[in-house]
Amino acid sequence: MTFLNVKLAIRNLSRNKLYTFINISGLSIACAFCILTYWYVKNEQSFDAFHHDQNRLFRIEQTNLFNPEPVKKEKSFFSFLTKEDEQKNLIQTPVILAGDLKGSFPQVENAVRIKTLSDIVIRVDNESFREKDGTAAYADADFFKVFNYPLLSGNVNQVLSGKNQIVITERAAKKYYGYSSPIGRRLEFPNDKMIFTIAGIAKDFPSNSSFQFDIIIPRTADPDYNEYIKQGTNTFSDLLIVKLKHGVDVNKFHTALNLFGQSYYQKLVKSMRQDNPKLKQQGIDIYMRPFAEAHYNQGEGWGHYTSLKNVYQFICLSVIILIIASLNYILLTLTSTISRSQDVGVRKTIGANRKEIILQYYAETQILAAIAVFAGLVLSVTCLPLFNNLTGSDIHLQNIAPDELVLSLIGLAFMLGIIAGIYPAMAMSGLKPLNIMRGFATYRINPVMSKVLVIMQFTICVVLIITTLVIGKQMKFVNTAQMGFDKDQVVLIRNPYGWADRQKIRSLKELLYHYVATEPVLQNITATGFNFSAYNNNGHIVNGKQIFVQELQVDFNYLSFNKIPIIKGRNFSSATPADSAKIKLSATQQIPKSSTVGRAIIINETLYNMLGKPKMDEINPEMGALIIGVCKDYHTDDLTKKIGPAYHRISTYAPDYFWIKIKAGKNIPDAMDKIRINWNKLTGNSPFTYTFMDEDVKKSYDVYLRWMDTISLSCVIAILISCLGLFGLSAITTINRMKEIGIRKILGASVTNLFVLINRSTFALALCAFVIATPIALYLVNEWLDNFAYRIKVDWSLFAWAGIATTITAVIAVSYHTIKAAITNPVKSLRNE
Amino acid sequence: MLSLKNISKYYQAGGNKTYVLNNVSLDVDAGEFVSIMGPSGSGKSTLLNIIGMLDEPSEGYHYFMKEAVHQLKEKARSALYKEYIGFVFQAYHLIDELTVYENIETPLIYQNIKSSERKALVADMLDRFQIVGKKDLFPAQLSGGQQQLVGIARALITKPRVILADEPTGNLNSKQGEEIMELFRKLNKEDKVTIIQVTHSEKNAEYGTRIINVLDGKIDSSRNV
Repeated sequence: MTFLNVKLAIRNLSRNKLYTFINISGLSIACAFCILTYWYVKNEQSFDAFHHDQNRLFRIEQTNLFNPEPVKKEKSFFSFLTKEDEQKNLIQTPVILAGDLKGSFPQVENAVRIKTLSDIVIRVDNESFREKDGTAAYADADFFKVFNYPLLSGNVNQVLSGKNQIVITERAAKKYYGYSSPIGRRLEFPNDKMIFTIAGIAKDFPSNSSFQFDIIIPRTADPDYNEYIKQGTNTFSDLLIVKLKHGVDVNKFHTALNLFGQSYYQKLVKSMRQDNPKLKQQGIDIYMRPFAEAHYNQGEGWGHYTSLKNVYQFICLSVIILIIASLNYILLTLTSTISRSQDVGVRKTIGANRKEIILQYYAETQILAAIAVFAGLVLSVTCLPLFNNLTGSDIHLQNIAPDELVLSLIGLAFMLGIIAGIYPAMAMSGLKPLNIMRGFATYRINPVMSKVLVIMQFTICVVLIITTLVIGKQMKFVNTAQMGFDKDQVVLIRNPYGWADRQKIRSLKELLYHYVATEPVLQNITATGFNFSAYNNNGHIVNGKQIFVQELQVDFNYLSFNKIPIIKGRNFSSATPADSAKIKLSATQQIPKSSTVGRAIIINETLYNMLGKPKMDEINPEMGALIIGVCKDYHTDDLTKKIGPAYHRISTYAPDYFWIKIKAGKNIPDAMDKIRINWNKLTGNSPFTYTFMDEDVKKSYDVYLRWMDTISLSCVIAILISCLGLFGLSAITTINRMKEIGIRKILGASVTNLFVLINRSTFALALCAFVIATPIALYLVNEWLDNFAYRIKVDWSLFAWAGIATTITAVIAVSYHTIKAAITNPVKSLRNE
Repeated sequence: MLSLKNISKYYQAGGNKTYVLNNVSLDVDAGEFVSIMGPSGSGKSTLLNIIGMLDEPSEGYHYFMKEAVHQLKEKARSALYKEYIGFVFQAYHLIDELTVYENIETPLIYQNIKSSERKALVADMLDRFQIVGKKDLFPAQLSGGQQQLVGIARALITKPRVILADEPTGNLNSKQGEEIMELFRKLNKEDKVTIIQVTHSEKNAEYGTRIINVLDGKIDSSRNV
């Protein structure tokens, strides 16, 4: 019986090639999307799950008393699912905590401190490299014992035992030395004056590891290590991973740890409360988060963050697309009952019962689903690089267990078979045998049902189209928005020296200023202590309320360099020594508990208004500074954030960034080459790290752009599948109405008349779907736009465009068959009767 | 064998009832070969459908093999016709996706008959109708007469007591029609299969043992041949 069903199903599928093709392509695209989503989820789940005894590893966290600004939660539908994960605990711990935990709790088998380095410059022989923040880390000697990062050479117990012995990964070894085993060679951190010997080579950390270090340095080698120890609980610097002994009751231990935390941090909390009476918290709690789950939490300073919101959104989109594809199948199957009603009728009169007919149709769907899943697998493997690009993840198929993959594919096939197959099978099997006794009369199953299905499809498409249009428009808006400063043709070069080398930096600055003045392709140069959306915030008390004010350390020509207009007072002048000098404040010139600047400052309009439009050239007690001017508001952050209060002061530290403006119309790569050659001369081949201001601005929208790409892609897929469905549907309905069309033609209907007649219902359904989709889409896009402080208004033209686009695609999809039917010679269609 | 008592079938159209069958009574004994005749729209096909339990009467009593069909639930009714009745259609209604062999075999599959037994039964039937050479062809590859032959073979494979045929020769030329009628007569005489056929053709009706004329939903006349 089953075998016969399979045989019959295959014959049926190969007979109706067009429908089979439409169904398989629709379903396989949907399957590919599902499979990719599955891999994405699996990959995220696999993060940090490869360590031995990972159920005994925990990350230590504390209540965050230090985060100055309340976290702005990103709005989404899934907020209710991700509450816990957006909780931002402090994941850095005092250096001394590791030892104190080990000493106080026999349950702790081991505790490893990790502190990542930033501003990394490495010198090997005469070559120097700038590495991304976080590629090197200080770690306790047991790092390779606790974590499962295999060593290629070196002994686990010894590699980090000496103070100047380090381990690097194979990748780093090849990069710095050109071969994979440079044991015993020298590696230098010139800015920190550290010199190490390579004692071990580790295998590259797997892509699904939160830690992505290339260089591991003994914790005690940190030049500031003793300073940290001295500071005790006053400083929070190290990630701390504890390994519990076998059989420790985690909940009990957690309670004990909390109790420990209350007394451990008592002194610190007391002094904090003295400084800030507004602080509500009474103490600091210590939390343990299972190590393998830590990446689901948004803790600042952790290597990888899995946004569960993204995961849910992906799952949602793939389910929607799967539903659209299944609807297609259901629609096509239900509508193509002309030949099928006969089949069912005959079978029933010769003795089939309902169950057998259901089985037969289900078998057909199941086989189709299996083919679609297989095709989807091939498609998803082909599209994996594209998908990695889209989601910004790094999915490797070898990280996914093959048996699990096969199992999940089988699961998907059955799920699809059931979603798409059960309803048509039930409906078809319910046909009465008498229907066939009436000859070849066309018979449609429940047209109301198929109309509902079409409306559902259309609705999803319209919602996706509107969302795509709105997101696209907003992204265009933020990319072309006036930032309030001139961001074009500006290159930001990172200062290559360490903080301590102040003299070196100052002389580099002099040399660069001189070079820019003499180089014809370059227009101007300035220097700052901050970068786009990376600046200091200082707490000031204004009108009795604490606010955070951006401190922007600049050079004298910063405002003119960026073409930011002064609207009151005056600009900084290097001719006025007071502009950069420290100001001694009397008691009346400052407010207790408020920060003081103690310099001349230029404030922005927002701060000017907040301070109640103070007079110029007077000491302002709220700021503890001399306000000499007010500049127009401009964006120091991307457009998701409102322009906040800010002040500029002349930088007395060494600058972090040099801003060089290339003259308009000059070739940028050529100019960069010139700068680089000169840079190498001036700095003796120090790393030349630069970004362009306009790209930095653009990059801040990466998350949103990625989301836009995802939505657009799903939109295209959904429309494609729906159009395939409509195409097939129109084929069947026109066949169903062949006779009617023929008769109408004989009675004198024109092709246009017929076209309108046949497609009238398509238009009506599209309209209906549009009406349903509009409020849903409106709600969704407004939720999304709320992420931006500066946003477009959703106007009706967007909706109109979406409506027109839907209708046009629908008409194109149905046109082929309806026009073909309309121009067919009526004699032909009637003769068949 | 079967008995219809005061059977009516009507459709409600507005306030009026439109009668397709009006108070029809009919008895058919085992072994009869009944031809039902009448003009288009006289209700003869509806009568046949009611006899075959594919359609339900609006009123009246229906007995088949001593069972009160009008009291049976749909499931029991279909079980009844599956066991005793074979259907032959004017448009053959073979399943296009199945070969001749498979078409004949299908009813046996639905009766859960074992594969080896099925093979033997189908082989017998193919032999008897002399269509062994055509067994792997699909219906579309056969002439009308051959298709109807397969249709009858399929109806007979479950050894029904009654064959209901709705204009079995309506789509065939006269020579093919004659062959089918001869076959029916032989089945009736030798295998004692009760046959009820609906036909337009006076000549084909003569093959039966009784001819019933239906007119405007009523039995107009009934005569033995």
